[in-house]
Amino acid sequence: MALAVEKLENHGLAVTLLPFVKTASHLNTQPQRPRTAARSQGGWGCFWLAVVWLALASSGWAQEPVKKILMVFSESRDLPGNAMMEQALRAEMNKDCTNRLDFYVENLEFSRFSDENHARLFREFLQEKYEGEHLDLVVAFMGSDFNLTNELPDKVFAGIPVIFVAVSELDIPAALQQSDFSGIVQRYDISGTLSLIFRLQPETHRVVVVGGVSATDHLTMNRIKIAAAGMDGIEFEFWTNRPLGQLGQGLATLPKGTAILLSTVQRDSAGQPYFSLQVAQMVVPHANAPVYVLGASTVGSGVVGGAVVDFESLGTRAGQLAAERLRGMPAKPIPVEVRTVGTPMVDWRALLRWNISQNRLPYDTRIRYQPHSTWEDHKGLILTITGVFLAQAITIAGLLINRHHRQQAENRARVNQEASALVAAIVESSEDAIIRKDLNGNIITWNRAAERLFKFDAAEAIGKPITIIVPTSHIAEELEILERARRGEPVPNYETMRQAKGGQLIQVSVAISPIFGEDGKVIGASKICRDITSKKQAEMEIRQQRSELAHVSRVSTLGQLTAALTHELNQPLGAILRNAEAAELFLQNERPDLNEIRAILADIRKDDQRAGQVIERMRSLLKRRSLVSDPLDLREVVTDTVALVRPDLQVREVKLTLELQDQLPLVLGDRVHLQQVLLNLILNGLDAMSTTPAEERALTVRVRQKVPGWLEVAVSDGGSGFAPDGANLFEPFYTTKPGGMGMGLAISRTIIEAHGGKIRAENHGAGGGATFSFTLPTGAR
Amino acid sequence: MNTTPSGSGSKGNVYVVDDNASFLLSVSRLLRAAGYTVETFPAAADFLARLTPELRGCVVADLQMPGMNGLELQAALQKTGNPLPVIFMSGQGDIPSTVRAMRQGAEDFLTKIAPKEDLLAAITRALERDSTERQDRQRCAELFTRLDRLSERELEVLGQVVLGKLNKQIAAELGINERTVKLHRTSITRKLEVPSVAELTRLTQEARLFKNYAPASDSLKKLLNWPVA
Repeated sequence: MALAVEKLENHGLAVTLLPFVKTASHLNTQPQRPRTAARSQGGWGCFWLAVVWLALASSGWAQEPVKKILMVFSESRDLPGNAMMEQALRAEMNKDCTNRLDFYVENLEFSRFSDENHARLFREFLQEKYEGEHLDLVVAFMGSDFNLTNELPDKVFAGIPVIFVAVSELDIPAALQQSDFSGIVQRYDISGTLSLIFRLQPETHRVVVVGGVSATDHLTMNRIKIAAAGMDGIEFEFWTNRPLGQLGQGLATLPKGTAILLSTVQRDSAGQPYFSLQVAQMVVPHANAPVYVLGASTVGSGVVGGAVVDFESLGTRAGQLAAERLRGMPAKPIPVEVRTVGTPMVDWRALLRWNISQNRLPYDTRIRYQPHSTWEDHKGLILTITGVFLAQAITIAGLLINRHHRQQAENRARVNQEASALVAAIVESSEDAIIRKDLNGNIITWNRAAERLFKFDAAEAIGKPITIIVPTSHIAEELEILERARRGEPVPNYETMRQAKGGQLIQVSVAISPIFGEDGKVIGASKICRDITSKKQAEMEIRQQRSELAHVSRVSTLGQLTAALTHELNQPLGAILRNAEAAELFLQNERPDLNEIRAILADIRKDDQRAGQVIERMRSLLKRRSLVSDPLDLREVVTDTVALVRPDLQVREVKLTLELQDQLPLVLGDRVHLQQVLLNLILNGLDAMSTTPAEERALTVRVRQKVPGWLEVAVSDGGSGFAPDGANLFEPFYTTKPGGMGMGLAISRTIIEAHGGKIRAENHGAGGGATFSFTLPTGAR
Repeated sequence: MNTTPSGSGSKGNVYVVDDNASFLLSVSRLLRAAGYTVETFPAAADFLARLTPELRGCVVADLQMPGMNGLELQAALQKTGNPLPVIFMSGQGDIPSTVRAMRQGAEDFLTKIAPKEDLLAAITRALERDSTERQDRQRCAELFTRLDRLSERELEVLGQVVLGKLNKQIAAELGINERTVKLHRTSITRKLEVPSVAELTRLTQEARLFKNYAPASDSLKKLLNWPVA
C-alpha cells in the first residue's frame, strides 16, 4: 500500500490545482477502487454538492430541525492544524446546511495522556455525557495512528454516522471501512515537497532529513528514503538517532547547497514527545540552511514551506462530507478518500531571507505573511484615476443610450405601420362579423363576415345607423350599449338577437369594446358578432337528451330495486302461502296429522322472519346510502326534479305550479335521495289524477319556511285523494295502484326520517285531491 | 331426493325442483295434501338423473336456480324421449323469460305467491297433457313401427295408392310393371294388417299428423310429407 502510493506521487507533482480530482483519478490504478466511484468522491461530488446546496438554499430554512454534531479531537483542538480544520469545517457546514447546527467539542489529548486508563475514562465520560443527547453526526479528527477508532462507545454512537479526518501514513484500519464511517486520510506529499526544494533552490545537492522514532516517524522516514533513492546526484542524510535538543550544533554548520527537510518527529530518540510546531521551533533558529516541512501548521515558524498538508482544504472537504450525511445522502460506496498530494505553501519572509525568487514558485503556491500590496500603499491615487475614467465612461454610455432610444422609436413607428396593415387584413378575413361605429351609432367599417351574416353589402351598411341590424324589440338594448361605449366601458360577450336584411332574426354572441383616440377620448366602438343559432340548437338538443337520460336511469334504478325486492320477498312469502294452504288441506282430514301441522307452523314462523330480514336489509341499505350530507338549496332540488318529469307532465296534460319562497336557508342533505322522494310524490300525484278531467289536472309544488329552523316541501294534486285509513300509506307494500309495489312512500319516509325530517299526507276533503309534504331542518340550526 | 310413496288414491306424480329448501318442502306438503305423489329435487341435474322413459307426471321447477336454471332444464327435457310438461315458478317472472318458456311449450308460468288454486289447476292440466302426449307418442310409435316393415319400393307404391291412383297409373309413374304394382299392394296390406284401401289411407293420414316425432327413414319421411335433406 505504502509502496503504491509512493509510486503514484512521482506523477502527481505538478497537478495541485484540482487536488480532489487529481488525487482520485490517480487512485484509479489501485485495483480496489473503480473509476466511477473515485470520480464521484472528487469533482462530481463537489458539483452535485453545489447543485444540491443551491436547491436547498432556495427552500425554507426556518422549518429545518437543529442538527447536533460532536467534534472529537484526538489531540488538543488548539493545535494549529486542528484549529484550521475545525474552522474550515464549521464554515463549510454552515454554508452547506440549511439546518441550524449545534457543535459539541471534545479533546482526548492522547499524546499527553496515553495510558489505557485515560482512554477508558474518556469512553465512559462520552457515554455519560452524550447518552440521550441524540447526536446526528460525529466528526473525528484523528491522530496519525487513527487512535480514535476504538474510543467511541458503541452504546451511544452506534448508528450515528462518523466523518473522520486523519493525517497518517499508516494503512487504514478495517474498522474505518464500515458503513457508518466516511472520511479523508491525508498522506504526506513527500515527493511534492522534495520537488519544491529543487525548484526553489536548484543549487541544492544535499538534503538533511530530521526524523523521530515513533512508528509513524519510521514510516514517514521510510517513505522519504524511498523517494530519495530515486534521485540521482543528491546526497541525503537521515538524522533520527539524536535527541532534538542536541541538534543545534549540527544544524548550524551545514555546508552550502544544503536544505533541511523536517520529517515527522512525534518522539525523538530521547523519548520526548513533540508536536510538529515544536519541532520546527527547535530546528529553525539554529539552522544555517532553509528548512522545508510536510505540514502547513509549521509554516510561519521560520520554515520556507513545502508541499504541505492543507488543513483548511481538509477541513472544508470534511465539512462537505458531513453536510451530505446530514442531508441524508447515503455513505459513499468507498467511504474513505485518500489524498497524497499536498498544497505548495511558502512563508514570504523565509523566501526573502534565503533570497529565493518568487518567480520560481509553482503558480498555485500559497504565499503566507506577504506584506501589503500596491493597492494598500496607493489607494488614494488609484481611486482618483479610476474616478476620472468612470466619469468619462458614463458620459459616453449616456450618449450611446440616447442614440439607441432614437433608433428604437423609429423602429416602433415602422412596426406600428406594418401592424395596422396586418390588423386590417385580419379584420377583413375574420370569421366573426366585426363592425366599427361612431358615438352616434353610425357604421364606419363593415367586414366581409358582416356582409355574410347580415346580408348588407359594405356599401349599403357604411354610414347607416347600427339599428338597421337591431330588431325593434332590442333597440333599447342597443342604446344602452352605445351609452356604455361613450363612457369607455367594454361590454363583454353576451347572447342576444339581431336581424339580417329582410328582417330574418339571428341569434348572436356580441362583444363591444370602446375605441380610444390619440388623446385618450372615446371616438367610437367596435363590435364583434358571432352567429350562434346552430350552437343554441345543439345546446338545446343536448339538454333534452340529458334530461331524458336522467329519467331513464332513474326509472331503471327503481325498476331494478323493485325486481330485487320482489324476488327476495316472494321466496319466503311463497313458502308461507304453500304451508298455510297445505295445513288447511291437512285439517280437512278426519284425523289430521298434528305433528305435520306443528312442523308447518314452525316453518311458517321461520319464513316470516326471513321476509322481515329482507325488509330490514333493504331499510338499512337505504339508511346507509343517505349519509351524504351537502348544503342544499331546496328550491334548486325542486326545480331540478321538476325538469325530470316535464315530459310526464306534458303527456298527462297536467299543469304544474311552483311556489318557491325567496331567501330560504340551506338544508343539509343528500341531493339524489331528496330528488327520489320528490319524484315519488310528484309521480304519485300524477297517478292520482289519471281519472281527473284534463282541465282540472293541476299539481302544485311548494317550498317554504314553515317555522324558523324548518323548511317544508309540499306536493298537492287535484286527484282522487286516498282512502281514509291513511295511516298505512307509508308502510311498505301498501299500494292502491294496480301493479304498484307499495314501496315508494315507505322508501320516502325512510329517506326523510334519515334527514331528521317528517313526512305526512293530507286529504283535501270536499274539493278532492291530496297534499303530501315533508319537513327538513335547516342547516343553520 | 325426497320421495312420497305413491298411495293407491294418488292423482299423479309431481316432480318439484327448487334450490330453496323451505319452498321445496312447503310445495311438497301442499301437493301431498292435495293428493299427489311428490318427489323433490334441490337441483335440475338431480332430477335429470332420476328421469327414465317410463316416468309419468309433470315437473314444477323454479325459474332462477344456480347451475342449470328452469329454462335449461326444460330444454334438456325436450331432448329426451320423455318430455314431461313443466310448470315454472318464479320469485318474479320477467317478460323475456316468460315468453321463452311458453314458446318452448311450458305448461304454465306462475309466481311463487300465486294462489293454490292456480297451481293445482296448472298441475291438473299438465298431468292431462302428459297423459295425452304419452298416448300420442305410443300410437305414433306403433304406426311408425308398422310402416317401417315396408320396403322402400312399397312405401313409394303406398304413397301413390293414398293419392287414389290406379295400378296402371302407378306402374307408369314408377316405371315398373303393373303386375309388380299389384304384388306390392298385396304385400303392403299384409304387412300393415289392414283390410282395405280406405283403411290404408286413414292409417297414412294419421301418421302424417304426428309432427312432433320424426320418422327414422328418408323414404318414410317422404311418404309422411316430412322435408327430406
